[in-house]
Amino acid sequence: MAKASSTKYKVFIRMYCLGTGDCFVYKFFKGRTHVYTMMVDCGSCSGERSEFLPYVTDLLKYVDNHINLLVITHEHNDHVNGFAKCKNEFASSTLRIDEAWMAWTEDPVDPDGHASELRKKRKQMRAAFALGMRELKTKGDAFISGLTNDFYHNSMLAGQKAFLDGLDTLADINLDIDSGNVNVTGQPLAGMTAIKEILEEKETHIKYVHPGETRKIKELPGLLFHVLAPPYDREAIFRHEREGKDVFRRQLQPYAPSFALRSFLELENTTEKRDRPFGEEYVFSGQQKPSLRSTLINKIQSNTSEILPTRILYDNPQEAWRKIDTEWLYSVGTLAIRLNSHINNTSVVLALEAKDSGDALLLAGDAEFGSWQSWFKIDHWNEKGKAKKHFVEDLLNRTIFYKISHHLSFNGTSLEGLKHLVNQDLAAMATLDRTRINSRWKSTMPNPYLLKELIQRCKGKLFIMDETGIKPRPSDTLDPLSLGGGVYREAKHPRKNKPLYKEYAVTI
Amino acid sequence: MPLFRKLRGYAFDPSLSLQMDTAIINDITYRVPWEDVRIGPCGEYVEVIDYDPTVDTFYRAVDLQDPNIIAEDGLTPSEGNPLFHQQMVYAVTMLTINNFEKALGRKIIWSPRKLAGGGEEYVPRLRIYPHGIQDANAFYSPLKKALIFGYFAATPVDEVQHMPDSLVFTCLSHDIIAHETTHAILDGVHPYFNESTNPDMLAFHEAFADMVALFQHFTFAGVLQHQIAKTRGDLSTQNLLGQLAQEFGKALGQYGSLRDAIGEYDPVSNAWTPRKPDPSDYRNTSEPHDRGSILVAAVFEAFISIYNSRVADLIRIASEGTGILRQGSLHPDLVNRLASEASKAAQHVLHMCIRALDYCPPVDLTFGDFLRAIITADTDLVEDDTRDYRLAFIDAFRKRGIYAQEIKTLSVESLCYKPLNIGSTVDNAGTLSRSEADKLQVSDDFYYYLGIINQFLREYADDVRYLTERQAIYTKTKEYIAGQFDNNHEYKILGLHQRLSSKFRDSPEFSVVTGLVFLSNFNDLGIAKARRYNQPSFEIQGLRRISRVGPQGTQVNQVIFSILQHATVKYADDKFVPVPPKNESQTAAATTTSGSDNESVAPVEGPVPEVAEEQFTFRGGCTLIFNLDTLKLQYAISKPIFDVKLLDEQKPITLHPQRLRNQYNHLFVSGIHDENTFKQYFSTMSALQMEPFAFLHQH
Repeated sequence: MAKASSTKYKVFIRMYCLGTGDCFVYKFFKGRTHVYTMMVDCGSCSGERSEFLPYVTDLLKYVDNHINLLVITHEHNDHVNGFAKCKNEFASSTLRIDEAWMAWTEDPVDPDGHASELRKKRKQMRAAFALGMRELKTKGDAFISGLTNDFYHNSMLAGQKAFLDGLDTLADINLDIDSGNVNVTGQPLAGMTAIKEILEEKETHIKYVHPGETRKIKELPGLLFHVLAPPYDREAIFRHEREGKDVFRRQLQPYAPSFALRSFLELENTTEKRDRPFGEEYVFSGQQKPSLRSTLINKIQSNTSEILPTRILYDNPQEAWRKIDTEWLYSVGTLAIRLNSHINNTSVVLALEAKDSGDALLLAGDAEFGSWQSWFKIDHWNEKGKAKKHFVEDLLNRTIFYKISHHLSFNGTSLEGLKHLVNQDLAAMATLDRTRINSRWKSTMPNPYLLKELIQRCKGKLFIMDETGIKPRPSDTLDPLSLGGGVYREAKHPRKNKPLYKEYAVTI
Repeated sequence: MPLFRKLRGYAFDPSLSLQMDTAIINDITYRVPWEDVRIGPCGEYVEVIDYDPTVDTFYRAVDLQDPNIIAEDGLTPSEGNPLFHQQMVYAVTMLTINNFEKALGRKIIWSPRKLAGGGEEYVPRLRIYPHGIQDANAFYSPLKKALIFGYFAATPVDEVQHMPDSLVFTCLSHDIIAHETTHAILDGVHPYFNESTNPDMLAFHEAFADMVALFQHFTFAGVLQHQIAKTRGDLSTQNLLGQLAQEFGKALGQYGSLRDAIGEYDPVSNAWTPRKPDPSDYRNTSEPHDRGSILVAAVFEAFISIYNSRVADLIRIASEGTGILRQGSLHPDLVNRLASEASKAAQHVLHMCIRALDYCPPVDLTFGDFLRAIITADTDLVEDDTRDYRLAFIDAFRKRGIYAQEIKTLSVESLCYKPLNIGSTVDNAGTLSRSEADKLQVSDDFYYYLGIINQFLREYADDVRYLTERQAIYTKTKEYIAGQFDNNHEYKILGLHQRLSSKFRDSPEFSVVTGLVFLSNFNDLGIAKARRYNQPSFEIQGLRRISRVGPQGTQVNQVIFSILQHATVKYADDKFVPVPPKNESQTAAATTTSGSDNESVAPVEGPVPEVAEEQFTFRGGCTLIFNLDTLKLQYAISKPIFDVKLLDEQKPITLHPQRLRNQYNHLFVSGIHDENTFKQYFSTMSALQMEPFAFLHQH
């Protein structure tokens, strides 16, 4: 009995509440001795440096300037921008970071070219997204503003605004925006660049993790760190939701992030001719080749053949409302969603397993549907779980803490995965704060089905960063403070009437 | 003048031309009604404008009148020639339009453009952009009255240079073109079917468009013959046509609903098995495409049953009564006969579905309503249903759990809308008389006013009977709705809108018949005041004359129009509260160019700011069908805006509670979870109403 308890760890899981976005510290204790500190991500959808500082200051004090392991899950602002906004603090030479883990997709040493291909694609998509959005803002607005004679003019303006809001929402976490100017180069996000520079400066060893590997940490005997994702399978990376039973199923092909991508990129380069799908001979260049009829039968035709008849129709000012010059730019929405999802699916997903008790913690990053699916396809874990289950399924069965993926969105937690989270002691944390989030996220976060299901499965032990606007509130099922200070506590922000962090303790 | 223009094209899409076994059936010659067509092609109904804004390029346009092109039945199918693309979209759109005109017995008129201030503008031609966007998408834009087709690279955009071969053009797929054209036609007939007020609405639009594409394939006799000869399976079961539909579904566009709804290939035995219908399908499926597929499957099953009954004798003859055909190829005569029966059955089913559109309520349609419309329309036209077409439909719908509301039993009689037959009877001397039963049904006043309306509609029917120009029909119809004015802005013809306003001012009887508020306390229900009178505002839509001859010689002469009314409603504290309308501002904004009362054709809808979270427009509508021969109001097919029962019981009336609740649930409670990601990020309720299809087909 004594022996068994000696291998148990108490883990304090602290969620810093700096707005929708992840910033976690996991402190491991053996008995009363603090043995290890792991930090995961630092970012938020919104907020300037000054708003980040109280949290980061507290965090650095809490870790006592020593982080054993820093995990960077993926390159989204709500996970990494804290490293840029508080670069001085993290770069400070007093802070030690022993080791860092990132996804294999970040690995500069990349013999098969997989990772660099993804990064190249990511760069192109970011640039195309930024350029397309910029073009749509100017040209699209101008076009609609001109349609004052249309019954739906106001609705069109409202629709345009809503569309641009959607783009802004996705831009907030996928692009660098500096005082309103969107970076159109597609370069990696400032937060990602900052943390890489910091780690290089500190000569921190970076490990690039691969799906299916199991790592051990010498300070934490008896604990196994299983890497579930990001998957190798490109199809999985690009899959953000269930395959649609839709007209264009093939749109989900992984290699085609957006078909207009090249055209968006070429918006920057106006001198170069864009790539046309047809040969030069079909292009109208000032003169419609007179047809046999127009020369032989209809003499009038030859007088107007200087101008293409269809062009006259198109340019008719009376019918300007039917023009489609800006219509294709709306494809940037598809592109933005795909960029967003594919980066989410490059999230590092870890499952910490205690060998003796079998308890597990699931740290899912922002993994979306494709990533979830891929966990169960890791071959060498086939039938390695209890009762010949796939090992991941077994791990999920034993999970007692789940860091909810992607802020309670529907895509973040697959239903197939959710149904395996059956442990009686399950608790979960969600980094969602509807008071600090771009408006359009609100339509997907939280997903009401998921919310209800998790409240039920956790028996109320679902800790959301801020419950404002959440219906139903998990705290109505169970007041977390009633769990007692040894299990759950909150600290107040020094100046605001908001929590600084929420902390939950598990023993594994 | 020639009767037809022959144009070569793909029966499916270019990918089938690359496969040995399908290449032969893929190249077909479309026969579309002849018209003088300008360069574009630009004809009476459509104008193809090949401008590609993504590369800022106008392509040369095809001249289908060019003798060289006429002599060759059009340009040779080719993916690399945009002029052929123009020809292909023209051919399929015109074929689809022609199918609708044949079934409806009238000209297709595109939904007019609504102008600021409440007027509207005739749209002569649907515009078609064959290369408008770079995306795996194609859609009908109700705002632009245009079909916009996309193209995309099937190979990695950034790894391989664009090769023409690797591009996929949605404008080369028969299914996609027919599908999008159907959206446009449907918008012209029922503009409010774009509004997603219940889970069936958008699903219906999708399913209907799919059905037209599917059954149009079955009317290509050559394709059928080839397939029947090749697949000499068990012809007496439904497998053959199911397999065919499956093949059709494999083509580009991959109308998933076709494939998944009808059946599937067993991966082991490779045998095709029809999907077993499940009565809970309809209840449990809500995503528009999935839900639409239930309807497609139901109609398809009805088609199979009809086909089976039509070929039963042929099979008996060919198998000498055994039901088992001999070894070897089928006799070509048999193949021809089977193909022709399938083609005929397809045509009949397609026409039954299209005709039903005239019997649909103008708003908030459900699949059950559609079934009732099919049955009623068919009963009117085909008195003696010897082949049990109607039963085939009822059975197929029943198996999928699609029931009509307010119906106790499923039978042809109960599904048929109850004929009202209110109105006068004309004897040989031309005098009007009333039956005793009629006198009990309605008051003298109501009878008298309805008679006036009836006469007026007959005049309308006479006036448009010989009009062949679509714009003339449109203009004349508008005159009859809004009235005609002389130079002093005095009425020459009093319009239908005003006639209804004045005849049925504060008329409980008309309110009960239509389910719409023609009462003085309209304001309490959140219904706006008419622009000129202190009366409830309403809209008249789709006034049209119907003239059809059934297979047994039955003649149907009707005038149909719909009346629409709406209220603004807020949901607060678990109650629905009518939001008082703002009439004054709209009166000021109203401009009338012709002096006509434009209100009659435009809904009173002011600027639409971003709506407060749980406020919505609640519509009621009623389709009135007048029989020209008997001069009676034959049917009133209504989605009531208020609770008619209360009026009967002489209680204070309220908006229809059940319909309100259903719409609210759809808009704010259950419906929102089925939206695709693209919608969730980028749309608003108003944007969805304007461009529903751009969002629907997106991912």
